[in-house]
Amino acid sequence: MNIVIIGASSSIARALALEIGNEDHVILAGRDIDDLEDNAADIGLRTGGTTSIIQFDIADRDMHQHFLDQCIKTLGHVDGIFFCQGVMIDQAQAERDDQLCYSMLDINFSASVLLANRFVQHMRERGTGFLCFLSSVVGDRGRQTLAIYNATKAAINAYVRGLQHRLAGSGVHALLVKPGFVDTAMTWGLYKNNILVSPKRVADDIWRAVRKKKYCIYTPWYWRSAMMFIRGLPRFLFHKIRS
Amino acid sequence: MRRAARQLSGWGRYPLESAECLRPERISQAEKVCTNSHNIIARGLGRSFGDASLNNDHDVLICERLNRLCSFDRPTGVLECEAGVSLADIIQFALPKGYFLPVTPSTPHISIGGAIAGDVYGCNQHLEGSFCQFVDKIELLTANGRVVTCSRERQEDLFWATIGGLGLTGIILRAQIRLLPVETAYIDANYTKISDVDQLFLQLEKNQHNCAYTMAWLDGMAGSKHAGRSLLIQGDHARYEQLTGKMQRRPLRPKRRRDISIPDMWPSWTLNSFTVGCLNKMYYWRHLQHARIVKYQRFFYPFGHLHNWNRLYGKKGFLRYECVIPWKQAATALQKIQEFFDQKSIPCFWAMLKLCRDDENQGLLSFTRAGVSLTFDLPRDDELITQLHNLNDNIIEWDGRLSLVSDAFMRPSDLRHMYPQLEDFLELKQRIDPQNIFQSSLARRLGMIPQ
Repeated sequence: MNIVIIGASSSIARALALEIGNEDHVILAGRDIDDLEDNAADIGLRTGGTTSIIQFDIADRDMHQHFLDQCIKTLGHVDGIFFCQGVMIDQAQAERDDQLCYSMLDINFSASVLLANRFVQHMRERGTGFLCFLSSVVGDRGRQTLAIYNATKAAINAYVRGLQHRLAGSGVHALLVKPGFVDTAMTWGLYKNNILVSPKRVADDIWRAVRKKKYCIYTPWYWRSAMMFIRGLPRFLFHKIRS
Repeated sequence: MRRAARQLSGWGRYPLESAECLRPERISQAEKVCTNSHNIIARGLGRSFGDASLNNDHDVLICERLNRLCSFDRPTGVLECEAGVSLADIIQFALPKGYFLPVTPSTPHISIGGAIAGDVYGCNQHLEGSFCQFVDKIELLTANGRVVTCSRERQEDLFWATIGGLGLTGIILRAQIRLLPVETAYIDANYTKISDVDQLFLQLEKNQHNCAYTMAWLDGMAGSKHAGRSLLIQGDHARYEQLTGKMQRRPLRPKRRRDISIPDMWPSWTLNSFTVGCLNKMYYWRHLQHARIVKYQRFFYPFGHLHNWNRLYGKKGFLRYECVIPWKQAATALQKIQEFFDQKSIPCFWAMLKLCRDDENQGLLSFTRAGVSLTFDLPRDDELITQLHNLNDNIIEWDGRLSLVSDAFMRPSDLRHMYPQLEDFLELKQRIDPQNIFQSSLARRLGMIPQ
């Protein structure tokens, strides 16, 4: 399979590329070209598969078509794409700084949608393929600590649900992944160690869900029931929890 | 980079100190570290026993995510990788390709950076030397924020100071090592039961050059009466013809043992003289067969599949007493040390003996020297440290030295007696790191850094 990973410097993306294994051709796309080179060498050595890199900034909209062309040129066709990019900016900072706030909205949501449009088109023409979006459990119910970030994730959730409906029967599959708290650079120092899970475990779950053509997964699995509880919490109780 | 406040300890769970931890995900982030930190030490997988990777109330750079393999040259077995790659990763990667680590310490879960900074050694030290003999190149982030490539030819003074340098010369970012070609993943092992010290040293002297690997497991609970009760463990890499049918099908990919993670729930008395006495007897009598083919994990890392076994010692933790003693005094020293533990009723739960040699080229603070290295794991209690200080005086008298990687209790005066090249090291450190950006709790405790 020919697979594209956006935001390939993140630790979940790295674990995912290692998980995908040796029969596939993987394109790592991201901004930090030196790091992508290191990652590609590592993944190539460990899995024995073919790995290419493309420097790509999802926020740069003019490059989207060029990026798709580059991917098709390298791979022939694209079977799957993972959207692993994402930024998390502290709520207070995002409220103060419009530029930062907008860039978070853009990278986490709007730019993903625009890029996805092009790839959906490509996959629909071939009648096969999958798109995998990394959302988050926090998208299920916004909280005060990261309200804007949660909103971008909720937007992705709604978008992927709609996309699944639109793509039903077309052969193209869209997967929504809601990871809990993962031990990455994003969460480093923010949470207690015992609620974090390793990127490897998350990548493992994601790849399994892709192969089984699931629609929406929580990873690790217990977040599904945890979030069901939190979604169901009455507002007067929910507003008391403000940590 | 964000800092995370953490409570950290070495593998011995003593001392427990707070630290501000930074964890870079890529080399480019790590390279910027010197600009925003003025007091930092690198930490790999935290397998040093004492406070070598701690930095009380200051920054600790956790390198576990810098774990990419960079290049591998299959014909020669030269591997280049980032400093956070663990030896277990390397085995998993290289063994199916017919390569193995040239030197294996008693656990595979240490990082390459840690292996270099601690200059680890294995049970072939007396023939092949320590880990540094197989390191060709180190990329080091120095105090001025620049990355320096050092090797035996280029910047050799920095190279030999970094080896065994406990991370005090800089942060190791990448390294290039040479691997050992092997035919199979199995070891042709030979276990010999030995009942006393004299016989042990007789056997060691007679057999030390017969096999690639030689070590002895000592019954630490044997007391002064049975001192030297031990198993002499020797082995060579098995050749393909030596394997039996089932093994021959997968000569380089033996089945992995299931990992067991030990929960953090044990009281400090879980391992006591009675339980450990029983375990030791079982271990001693289990090896009834004299020679057999075993998996490499079983030979090198008998407890490698037990994760967090240090938790069995409870919250108090343990101290590792690791010393090397010249051949001449080794037999007396072993007898004396076991007598000492017996007199003071210090229970010793794990004891190993390995053989060492002198190398022409060695790190300035490398531990090994010609003789016998002895390792004892002692559950910590409050008096133990003062008792061990008395023992340290004896070690100096025998012209031996203690390992810095295992150390949590040495005094500054001990260090000066045991490591004659310390002054050279400090001079070099002063030159490349005048502001002492790289410092650890161990360096401060031992007076390597002026307070």
